[in-house]
Amino acid sequence: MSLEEIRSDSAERRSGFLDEIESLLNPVLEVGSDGSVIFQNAACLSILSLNGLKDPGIFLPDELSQEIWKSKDPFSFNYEKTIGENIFFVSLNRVPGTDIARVYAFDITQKKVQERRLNETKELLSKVIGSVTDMLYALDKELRYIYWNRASEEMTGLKYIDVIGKHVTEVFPENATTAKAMASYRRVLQRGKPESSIFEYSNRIKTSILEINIYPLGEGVSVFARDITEQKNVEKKLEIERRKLRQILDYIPEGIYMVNENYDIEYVNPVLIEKYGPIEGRKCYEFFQGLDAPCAWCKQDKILSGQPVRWERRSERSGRIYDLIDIPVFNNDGSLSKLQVVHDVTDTRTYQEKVEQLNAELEARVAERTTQLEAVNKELEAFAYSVSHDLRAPLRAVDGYSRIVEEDYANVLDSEGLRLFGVIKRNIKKMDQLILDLLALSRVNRTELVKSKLDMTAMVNSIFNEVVTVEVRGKVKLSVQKLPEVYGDSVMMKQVWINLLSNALKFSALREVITIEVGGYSENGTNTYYVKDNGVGFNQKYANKVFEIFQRLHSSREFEGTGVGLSIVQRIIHRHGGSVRAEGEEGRGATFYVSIPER
Amino acid sequence: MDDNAVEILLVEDNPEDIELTLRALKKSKLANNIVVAEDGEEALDFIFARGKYSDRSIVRSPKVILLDLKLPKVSGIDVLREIKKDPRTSIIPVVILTSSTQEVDMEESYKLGANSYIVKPVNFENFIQSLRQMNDYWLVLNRLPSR
Repeated sequence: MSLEEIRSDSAERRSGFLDEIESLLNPVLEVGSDGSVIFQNAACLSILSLNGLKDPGIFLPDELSQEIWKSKDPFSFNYEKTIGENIFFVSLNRVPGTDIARVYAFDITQKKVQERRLNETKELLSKVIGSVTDMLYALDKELRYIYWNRASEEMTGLKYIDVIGKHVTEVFPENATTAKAMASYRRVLQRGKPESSIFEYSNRIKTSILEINIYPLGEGVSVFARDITEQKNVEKKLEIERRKLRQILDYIPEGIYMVNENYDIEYVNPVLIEKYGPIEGRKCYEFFQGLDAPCAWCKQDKILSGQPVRWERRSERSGRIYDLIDIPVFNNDGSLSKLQVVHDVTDTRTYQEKVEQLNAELEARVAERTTQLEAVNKELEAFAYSVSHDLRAPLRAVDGYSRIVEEDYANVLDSEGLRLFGVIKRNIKKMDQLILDLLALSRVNRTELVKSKLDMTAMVNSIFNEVVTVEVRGKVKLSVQKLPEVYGDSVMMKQVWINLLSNALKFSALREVITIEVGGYSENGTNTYYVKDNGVGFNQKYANKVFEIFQRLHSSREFEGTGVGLSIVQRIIHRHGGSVRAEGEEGRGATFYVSIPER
Repeated sequence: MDDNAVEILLVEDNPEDIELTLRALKKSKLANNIVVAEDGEEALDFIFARGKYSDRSIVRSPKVILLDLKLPKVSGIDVLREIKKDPRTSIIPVVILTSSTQEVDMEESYKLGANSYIVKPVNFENFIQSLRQMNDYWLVLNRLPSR
């Protein structure tokens, strides 16, 4: 039909059609090959007026070539047009056999918005899933991969494109792990219920422990796998530690148990089980004491106040003594349990008592001995008294009467007789000296020490002047170093210096020049003093003998003496808690050392 | 001065010591009138004019007493205590004469008021020397206050 023919089409038929179109809610219009608008319906007009437009040509394509009209062939164009805020899907079709194109526009604004929203949602979802650092993948019902996230790529080293669409067995080797996984997937598919399990997954680099959660996903499954290797290691360590602790508790010889606030036993170690039998949900007082109420002596109150208690108890039933340590243990729910360590100290206490008893006996024995010793000491004192008194008296008589004979009978005695009297007098003198020395020695033992700070340097210098005789004074070269001060008994310490210095002088008397050196030093709280001479000395192998009583290394003919002087020195030094020693060489002098604590 | 006045009372039990002491004193012309008491009791009897000395007058006391400490019956320490306790005799100089070197004795004697203390040396010459010194001091230099 030509344009004219259409225009002149039976008005009736056409008006019926146009009426129908007019009633449509979608914009419809007709354009001629010359581009003129032949018809537009009310919906078209209303859209245009709504957007302040008049030309319905806005619904037409931007460019419509005139060429298409030259043939009689039908054509059709579909496109989108935005008018104002509305988007239209427009379909332009040639009315067959005419030079008219009919244009139908459908408002797809709503659909477009939905589409955009959907896209946005999809993007967000992919972002969210992409942000997950745990493995996330999905399988269809044939167990072919339909999703595979980045974390899955990283964990397995398998790329998305290498996995998607492939069956599990095409991706992973057919082994026990794969078989187990597939069985799980199938169960979830079948039952429609999620499932969790632990898998060990090994790639070429390492073995990881994966916690896998499989969820039903319509016609497939989605799988969420998390690497819990680290967590497992920590758990394993904790488990090991727990086991160790348990072992300690199991092997510890002390009894250990724990009860809650209601006296319910929470733990009992094997030692106690062995002794008291199975726990069987019994209360502690039933288990240990066979009572039906808490023990009267229980320290539960203290424990409930959060304080540890250590106490001792003698069991009336067994007679044994226990050292008990109660420790409050705070539970997560705020309640307190009591941990008790039971240590049987019966043996220790028994030994202690024995030791104490022995000590008491020992003390009594010591006291007894002391009394005996005191008695002996008194006897000794009496003995010393009579020695000095009774032994000296006859000696005095012998001496006195010898002199009377010498004086009164001098004319009757020849020179031999006089010599013999000389021998008697010399021996009397010697015996008297012996008695005096013995008394001095016994006095050292009996006299109580009175300690004070002593200036040893001054003491040595003053004593030297007392003991040096006029005959030798001129040939003595004495050198006294600065000597350390000491706490000691002044009278006794003077005696030490008297004996040491007179000894040195006596045994050096034959030298042309007597050299005596006195020195001292302090070391680790001990002061050592020495007296060195250039006298006759002695053989070092007798060094220990020089301090023995009555022990002499030289004959009386060479040097007079009783052999008591150095014994006195030794006794005094021993009484001060010190020690003595001697060094000597025959013909080359001797050195005597005394060491005493500074205090 | 009364010629009969006792110059020295020697309290000594050992006969040899008595002989030697008397000989030494006489030989040194130290004293003329010496009385010897051989035990503590006799010494006290003499000093306090009792017993066999009851006809004596207590006021004619010796100028010095040489007192041994170790005596029969009453010990020298007790004799000393008695002498020094009684105001009539406490003024008499007492020289302790003993062979003891025990410091306890010396201390005890001085505490009780002994005036001097001589340890009898074994050597006889030393003894005489000691006695002479004692004599010089107590008989010559140390005059008693006149009564």
